[in-house]
Parts: sequence; C-alpha cells; structure tokens
Amino acid sequence: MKKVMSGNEAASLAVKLSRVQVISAYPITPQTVIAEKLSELCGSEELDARFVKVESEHSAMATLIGAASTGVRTFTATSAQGLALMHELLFWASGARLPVVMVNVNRAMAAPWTIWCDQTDSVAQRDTGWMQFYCWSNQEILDSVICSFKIAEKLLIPCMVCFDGFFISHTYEAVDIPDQKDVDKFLPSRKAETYIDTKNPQTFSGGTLPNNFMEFRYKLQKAFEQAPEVIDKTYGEFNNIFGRSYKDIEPYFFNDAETVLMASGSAASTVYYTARKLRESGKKVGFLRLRQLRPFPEKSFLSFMKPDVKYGVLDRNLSPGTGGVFTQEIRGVLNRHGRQNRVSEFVAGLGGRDITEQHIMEIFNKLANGEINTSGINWIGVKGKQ
Amino acid sequence: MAVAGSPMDWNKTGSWRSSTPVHRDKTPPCNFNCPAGEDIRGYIDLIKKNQLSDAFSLLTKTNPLPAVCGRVCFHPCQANCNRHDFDIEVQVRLLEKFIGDWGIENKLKTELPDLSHHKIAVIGAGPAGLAAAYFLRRKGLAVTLYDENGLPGGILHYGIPSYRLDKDILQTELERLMEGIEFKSNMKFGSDFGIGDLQNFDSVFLATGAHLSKKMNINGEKLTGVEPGLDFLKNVNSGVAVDLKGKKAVVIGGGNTACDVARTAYRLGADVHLVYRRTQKEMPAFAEEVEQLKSEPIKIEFLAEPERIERQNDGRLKVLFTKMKLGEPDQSGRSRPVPIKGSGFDMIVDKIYAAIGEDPDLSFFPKVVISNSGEFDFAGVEKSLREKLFVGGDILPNPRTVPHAVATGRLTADKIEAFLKGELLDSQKNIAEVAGPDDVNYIYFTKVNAAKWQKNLTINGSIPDIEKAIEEASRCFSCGVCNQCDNCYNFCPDLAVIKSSDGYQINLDYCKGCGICSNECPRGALIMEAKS
Amino acid sequence: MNEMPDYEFCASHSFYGHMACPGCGEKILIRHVLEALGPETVIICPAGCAAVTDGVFPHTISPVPFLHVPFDATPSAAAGVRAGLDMSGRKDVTVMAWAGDGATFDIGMGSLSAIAERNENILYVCYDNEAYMNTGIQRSSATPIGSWTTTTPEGRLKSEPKKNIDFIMASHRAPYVATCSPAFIDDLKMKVTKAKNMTGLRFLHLYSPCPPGWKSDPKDSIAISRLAVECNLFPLYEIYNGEKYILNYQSRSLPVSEYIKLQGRFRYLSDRDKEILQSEADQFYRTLISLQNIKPQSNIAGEE
Repeated sequence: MKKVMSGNEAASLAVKLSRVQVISAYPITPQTVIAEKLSELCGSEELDARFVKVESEHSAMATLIGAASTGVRTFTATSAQGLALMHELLFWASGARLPVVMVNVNRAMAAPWTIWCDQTDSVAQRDTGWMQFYCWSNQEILDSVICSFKIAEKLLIPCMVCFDGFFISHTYEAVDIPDQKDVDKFLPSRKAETYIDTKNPQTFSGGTLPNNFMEFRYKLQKAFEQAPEVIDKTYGEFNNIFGRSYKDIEPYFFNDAETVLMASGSAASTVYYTARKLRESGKKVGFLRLRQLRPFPEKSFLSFMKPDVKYGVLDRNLSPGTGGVFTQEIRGVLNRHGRQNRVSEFVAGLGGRDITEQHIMEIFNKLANGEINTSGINWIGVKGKQ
Repeated sequence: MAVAGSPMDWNKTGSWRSSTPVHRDKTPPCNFNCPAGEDIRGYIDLIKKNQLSDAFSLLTKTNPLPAVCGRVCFHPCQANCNRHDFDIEVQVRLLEKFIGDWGIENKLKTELPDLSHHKIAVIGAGPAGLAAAYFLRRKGLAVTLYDENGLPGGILHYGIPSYRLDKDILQTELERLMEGIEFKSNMKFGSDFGIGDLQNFDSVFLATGAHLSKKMNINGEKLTGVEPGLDFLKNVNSGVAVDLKGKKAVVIGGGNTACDVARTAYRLGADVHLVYRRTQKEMPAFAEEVEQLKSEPIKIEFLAEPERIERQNDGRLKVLFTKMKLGEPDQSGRSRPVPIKGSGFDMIVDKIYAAIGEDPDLSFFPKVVISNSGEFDFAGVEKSLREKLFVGGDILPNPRTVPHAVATGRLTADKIEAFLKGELLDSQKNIAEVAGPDDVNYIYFTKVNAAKWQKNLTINGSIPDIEKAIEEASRCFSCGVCNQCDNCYNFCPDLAVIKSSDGYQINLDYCKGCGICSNECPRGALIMEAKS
Repeated sequence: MNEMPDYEFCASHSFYGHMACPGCGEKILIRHVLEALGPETVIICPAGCAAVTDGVFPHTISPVPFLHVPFDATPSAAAGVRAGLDMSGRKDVTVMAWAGDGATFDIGMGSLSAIAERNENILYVCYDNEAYMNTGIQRSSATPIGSWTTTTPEGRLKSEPKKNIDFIMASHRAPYVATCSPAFIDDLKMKVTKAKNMTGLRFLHLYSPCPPGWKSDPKDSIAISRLAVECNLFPLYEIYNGEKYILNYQSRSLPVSEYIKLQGRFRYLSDRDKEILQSEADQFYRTLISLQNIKPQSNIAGEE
C-alpha cells in the first residue's frame, strides 16, 4: 500500500513494522517527528513497545544498552548534538556487540547554532564501530531501517541509518508500506544468544586486561569484514520479498562516463538530476551514489574505478584540517589497494546551504576542465574567497 | 562481547594477611570467681534462650544447691561482673535463685546411674558433705550420709536463719539432692558411731564443719546469759522457743554468724547491739549482710572490745568495753585493733552472744597433725583408714562459705573416684585468660538505669517470671566466650568466617586480616594473632 | 540473626577471592543486600570500586547477572534493563543499580533525577564511600565538609557540606528512600526486603567505609559505620513518597569527636570546624525527629 509521508514518518513506520520492543529517544530538531510518531504508536498500542522518555540523548543510548543487553530489539533516533552527546556510548554499544539500530537525521554540529543539514554529525562517529547507511529517499529509509535490524542482529554490530535533516526528513514522498506479515517473515523476533538471564548469570563488559582486550577489537573488525556479504544477502532477501533492491554503491550513467561524481544523501538526488540533464545535452558525466560509510564497500567501489575517468567526491561534511570524510575514506581505499586513481574533493552544503543544480554543473565542469585543486578542498558555494 | 562467568576463587587473598583472627574463648570473670566452679555464663546463656531445664542441668553439674545458693551465696561473681561499672552487674544470685526455685517447682531431677559395689561414708550433712554425697552417687557410688542432727543441712539449717534461707525450700532441695543416698540422722561421730564403723567403707569423707565457738577469754564468760552465738542459732533453728521480748542483747563479733545472731535476736523481740573491735571495712561478714544489718534497728558499735562481764544485783549483766583504734596489720592483713587506755564504757544487758569465730572439732581423732600447707595427717589412725580418709568443708582453712564448701565436696568426690580406680586426680587444668572490661565492646550494649532496673527486677525479693529472667539473662555480656552472635560472620567483607552449628572457622585462604571480626566481637572471644 | 541461613547466597556462587581492600565496606554491604534480594536480581553497575573489584574478564564474583555500564549511565541503563525485562515477560526480576557516590551524586545526577521523576521501577542503591575512591580518593559532592581528599588537600579542605541526596530523592516523591549502615545489618536487610517488595523508584543510600580513602584502620570499618549513626552524622531513616519520615534508630547522640578520631581524613579539622560539625549533626537529627510529625497527604503503601 502506498502512502505519502515524510522521511521521519517513514522511519517511524519502519520501527513499528520491525516490532521494536524498547525505544528511548530525546527530541531534537529535525528528529522530533520520529519521537512524536513513535510515542503515538506506543500510546495507541499499535506498537507494543516501551518508550522510555529520557532526559538526554546520552541517557537514550544508555537505556538502549541496558535494554539490548536483555535480548530485546531496540531503537532510537537523534541528530547532531544528540548524537555527539552519545559519543562514548556508541563505542560501548559496539564494543558490547549490541545490535542497536538508530536513525540519525543529519544536521550540522554547533557552534554556531544551526538546525540545518550536513553530515558532519554522523561521519564524525565513523570510528565508533557502528555501521552507517545514507538514504536518499523516504522509501529507502523505511527499507533500510527494517534491513538494519536484520543485519545488525546477524553481525552483532549496531547500525545507524542517516538521512538529511529537513531535505529528506521533512519532505513528503510516496512510500510503499510493506505488509506486517511479510516483514515478520523477513525479520523474525530477535534471538539473542547472550543476554541477561537470571537462570544463567553472567557478567557483561567487565574490566579486561591488556592480555585479553585486543581480541575483542579483532573480532569486531572481523565482523565488519563479513558485513558486506551479510548486507548484500540481506538486501537480496529483501528484494525477493518486497521487490526493491539496493546495491552498496549505485551507479548512474556510469558506463562511458568521463567524469564521475560520487555523493550521498539528498545531494545525491541533485547530482542525479543534474547528471541526467547533462547527459541529455551530450556530456559524458556519470554518478555513483554512496550508501555506506561503514563498512565502506571496498570491493564494489574498486570495481567502479577505471583508469582514465576523472572522479570527484561531493562531501556535505568537513573534518577540519583534512577535508571531506567520504573523500578521505575513498583515498584510503585506493591507496590500500595500490590504485592510482585521483579523486577530487568538493565540499558543499554545510549547515544546510542548498546544493543546487548550478553547483553540480560547476563541479562537473571543473572535473572536466581540470580547474581544480586536486590535492586540497574545492569549496563549492562559499561566499567571498575560496 | 566480554562476558565473564568464571569465579575469582583462584585468587587466594589469604596471602595478603599479616595477622590472623583466632576464635579462642577466655574465662568469664563470673566463672573464674565462683568458688563452686559454676559455668555461670553457660547457664545464663541457656536462660536467655529459654532453655530452663538445660540451665538447671548445667548449674547442677557443679552445684546441686541452686535454691540455697541463690539465697545465701555472697556472689563474688557479681562483684567481678564486667557489667558492674557499665550500669549494674548481672544479678547472678537472683538468676540462680530463679533456676533453683524453678527446679523445685517443676520437680526436676537428674538421672541416677546404677550403683557399683563401692560404698562411701560421708560424715556431716552440711553443704560440703551434701555436695560430696550428691556427686559420689552420680558416679555410681553408694553413699551413706551421716549427721549428728535430726535434719540434713548442717549450717544451712542450723546456722543460717529462716529469714535468709527458708527452711521448707531448703529441705525440698535437700530431698532432691539426697535421692538414692542413705541418710543416717542423729548419728554423731565419736559418740553414736566411731572409727571402727568406718572399716566397711571403701572411702570416707569427713565434713563435720566448724562448730566450736571461739572463747572470748575474758572474766565472766561463763556466767549464765553469756552464750556462743552459734548455739543460740542452733536452738532457734531447731524450733526451740526463745523469747527475748523486752530484753537487751549484745552481740560480740563482725562475721556472718554475728550478723545472723543479731538479726535473729532482733526478730525475737530483743533490743540488739552489735559490737565489733574494728570498723565496718574490716568486718568479715558479707557486705550484703552488713547492709541488711544496718537497715534494721540494730545499734552497731565499732572499735570496741569487751574486757569483762559482771553480774549486777538486779540479775542483769554488765559488760565493760574498751575502745580500740586501728594499728599495724596483723597476720590476716587487717589492721590490728589497739586498745585506747582509759576509754572504757559499759553496757547493761540481759544476753551476751559471742560470735568471734569457730573451730572444727577433731577431738574424736586420736592425733591430727595439720601441716603449714593445710594437709591433714591423721597420724593416730591406722594406715588402711588413713589412706581412704578425705577431709573437706569448714574443717579446712578455706574461706567459710557455702560455695567453697560445695566445691570441696565436688572435688573430693572426684578424688575419691580416682582413689578407687587407683589413679591420681589430674592436677588443675590450665585456666584460660580471664576476660576483663577491655575485652568487652560496650557499644553493643545499652545501659540501663541501675536503680530503676534493680527495683523492677524482683517482686518480694525474687525474679517473678520467665520473661523477667530472660530479660536479666540477656544483659549478660558472655565475656570472653563466643555465644554465636554472628557479628564476625556478618561483618566480614570477604566471607572468610565460616559458620556452622558448632561455631565459626576462619577461611584462611581468603581472610585478608582486616581485623573487623575481632574488633566487633562484643566479648573478646576473637583475637588477632600475628601470622607466623 | 542467630538463625543459620539455608543458603549463603554469595558463598554458593563464589564471592571469594575478590580484590577489594581489607575492611572494604562495599563488600560487606553487597553480601547482605544480595542475600536479601535473592537470585532473581540483575545488577547494573558503573565504573567504581564495585565494578573493578567484581573481577577482571573472564572472572566475576557476582552470583547474579551483572551489567557493567559507563560511569554516568547507570540510572538510564537500569531503566533500559527494566524495560527490556518487562517487554520480555520477566517482570519479577529485580533491577538493582549498584552505584557509588561519584556515579550517583555527581556524574549520574541528571539521569538519576530523570528516573526518579519518571518513577521507574528500579531499586537504586548507592554505596557511599564519600569520594571518588576508585580513581584515588578525589572529592565528590558526597564528601563531608572538612574532609581531606587528594583534590581537597590540607589548606583547601572540602568547604561544602555533603549533598543531601536523600532529601533530593524525596523531593522527587520517590515511593521509598532509606539510609542504611553496614553496622546495622538487620536494619539494612529489613529495608532491602521492604524495597524489594515495592514498585517504583526505591532509593537506598548505604554508608560504605573505605579504609584507604578515609585513612582509617581496616579493623575500624564497622566501628566507624556505627559511630556515624550514633553521632548523628548518618542517621538511619526512611522517607515514603517524599512526605512520611520515620527515624529508625534512636541514636545515643555521641560526640562527633568519637567519629573523627578514627579517621585521618579529618585530621586537619580545627576545633571550630568540629563544633560546626557537631551542631549540624545534632540539628539535622532534631530536624528528622520533628519531620516525623508531618501528616502525609497521600495514601502510603508499604508503611512500617
């Protein structure tokens, strides 16, 4: 059944369909609708879950760590400052191998104060051991949240599903709502193997000396290395039941492209739209949509790296001192595998500044004519000096 | 994920310790000071737990006269009770009285074992003889108990007045005591039977007491109206009617006998004076007796001694006294009274009772030599009798008290048993250190208002019911003896005090030696010893 | 207390060999608390002495499920465990937070207030050793006035009085707030049992002596715990629904000097300081006595 809804609503619906049991969330713009919608669903008992109305995001994640340790399915949503406030607990959740799923509505980090979109909040958490997905449509949000539970519970790695604040969270699109029965088949209830059980008392996450600690990190890394396969399989199953497929990197207009831009989030749809337009006027442009920051899909990515193509990466985020984070990741992957491809770095849209068709054209032109700073940041849309 | 489930018990934290707690009982001061050797703490603990029959059993294991001692004992246990300075000492004598009376009310007895072929003669049914007879019978030995009087009891019946020791209670207790024992009354040794009759016995215990009153050795002592105090008491206690109404009597002496005489005379209607040659401090009578004496309208004159007695024309007696002052200590350790020249005064009285001490009568033995250490050598008696002859009670130069007498009776029974087996009795076992006030952790106890408490404890001089007895028994600190209060067990941070129905053990694998258990033992039964 | 327990809960599950300091108050407390609660209990425990001395992976001394949580996360994690257990049909399991004064009075204060305000069905127990002991004796808001710690050294002793966490919790109208001391085991167990059988946010404040932190002799841990009560520095009382006060133990009102002399952390107190301490202790005790006269408005469940 199709229904028009916002990104936030799609996320909330996915939580209901996934039969989450414990939710804990603290309101923050632009996530608030999720908290409100879920409160409504729990209140009316359409969703049989306990919604713990905590007093901070840090407490929200702490609550989920507690709940997930009992073996139940858990969920939260946040954004920017809230996500940052959870920072120490993100490490905890992954270190404790708890399959928590979180929606992060991408918003720029203060200071100065802002409520508008950029991805710095979630990319800054890339070292915390969480999987990260980036959505560009409300349908994808719904589908990704449901899949995230399955993937997280299989790998025992927590997962965050990110989408742009306001641009996606508050924009209305038609979304095909799957049947609960089908979702139940795809995603049965969580079967934790290790959990709090008075019949089998155990102690969780206690002090671990140097002679034992490293193996836990090793195991987590190994799980991440298995992740691409699990993710692929999961989305494959999803496609079989629901008829929608998602690849870890989605190519558009790629095959004979001479310049290729990579992007994620709502900016990606602008890139797509612009690329299509440019193609119509004969320009050989291509576009790769990035969906995953963690695990970064190295294998598929490398399959898209051709020798004579000019690549650019559009980062709607900034790690001050270095540049855009997707760019860094990509350069790391290329270097690791001995690839010579150069990618140019484009930073745009920080703090919710609109990324327009003009901007994308500017990028493709620059890629084509070589008027770019190949070793530094190419700032797009910044007033005054670059 | 890091999930832990295996224990930490491989970590033997006992290695951290530099001192180790040791549960070791000390001797409670009450037990230590009881002449009869009662396990006072033990039976008080049983009273606290409402195990009255067990308390009675434990008490009578060493003293078969609880109802008696509960009335007349001078309770050195109380004076040494570690609660004495805290609020008020545990009223042991009243508890003993309670158990004694309870035993009588509930007709409690102990099992009598079958008799062996041995026969023992006990001469003198005073507290020493009675105790010996009681314990000998419980060793399966047949006892024949002789006494010169019609009733058993000795000094208990014929010396101590009825207002201090009720005669019915006494005789009931003695009935129980003498079950299974042959009692031959009105048999005076040396006249009604003699050494020759002792041949048939395997052993003999001589406990005829000390009933020969000391002479004052002054002129007029032999005049009518001058009487040994003990004889006066015996008459009254035998039921002879003595009327002293309107008469004036003076009692010479400062011991228990003198007090008994004075108070008995007062009850018979006399106007009584008591004259003692030293001061109250030096009086040999029990302090309680002196207090009782002073509470009655009996006039006491200290530091005076009679010089002579004269008969007046009106038939009354005139006693001339000399005032005394205290000089250097004599061999008893007390100040020697020294006459003050020219300080005489006289007293006109009807009766004079002399109560200045008693001696044992051993005239019926041919030759008795008493060594400096108090050993008796019946040199004039043939060897076979001499070997099996034991002596105890007031004949010996013990302190002359009921519990001391009972102790000698019990000890002699043990000696006789050993003698019959051809063994030597084990010498005195080592007494563990006595628990003093420093052993008690006073924070665990609540002070009572001493005066109020004492007033509310008794009705008519006795603890009225079990609840009150338990309340009083609960005040016992159990000095030095573990009574399973669980403090050590509860307060150990390492679970290193193991508890079982027999008591506690320290788990040396894990005890870190913190010392909390020892510090919190309310009674000093757990001490820290340096780890070797 | 003379009955032999059928089952010394901690002993049967190997409490032995833990690394707590000799004379540690927390271990005396946890023993008896667990015995009163029984096996259907989950412990949520933040960083602190209890967490560290529980054992290092793969060892533990806890006989019940024990969830380590970050320092500031205890109240919320406990709420999460409660929610998870309730949602998976295990409503009868007691969720007990076992946190030190650092985690309770300071870093976790915000979320503690939140779970109290929401009246979460949690038994929150704070073992209070009056400073951040696990990290080496730094002051907390539970440190008493005049106390030495490494961050309140001589010349800069703690100048603020101890935070009254019990009244704070009472202000949240928590169904049950109570103070306990390891020197009064019967009282402790009574309160734990009472709390176990109630619902909502039950807060127990346990006095936990620390020999290294207080510069006291390990053997004095219980004596000090007793004196804290007898000197009115840590009275034993209960508050129901923030309005009914019951003083459980009539202290002997001993002079605070008895308490102070056993602990090196008070060695720098001036006589004037001691006077202040004495009068404040006595004043508070008198306040508690008079608070007992308040007539509560609400219906009290679980009354004495």
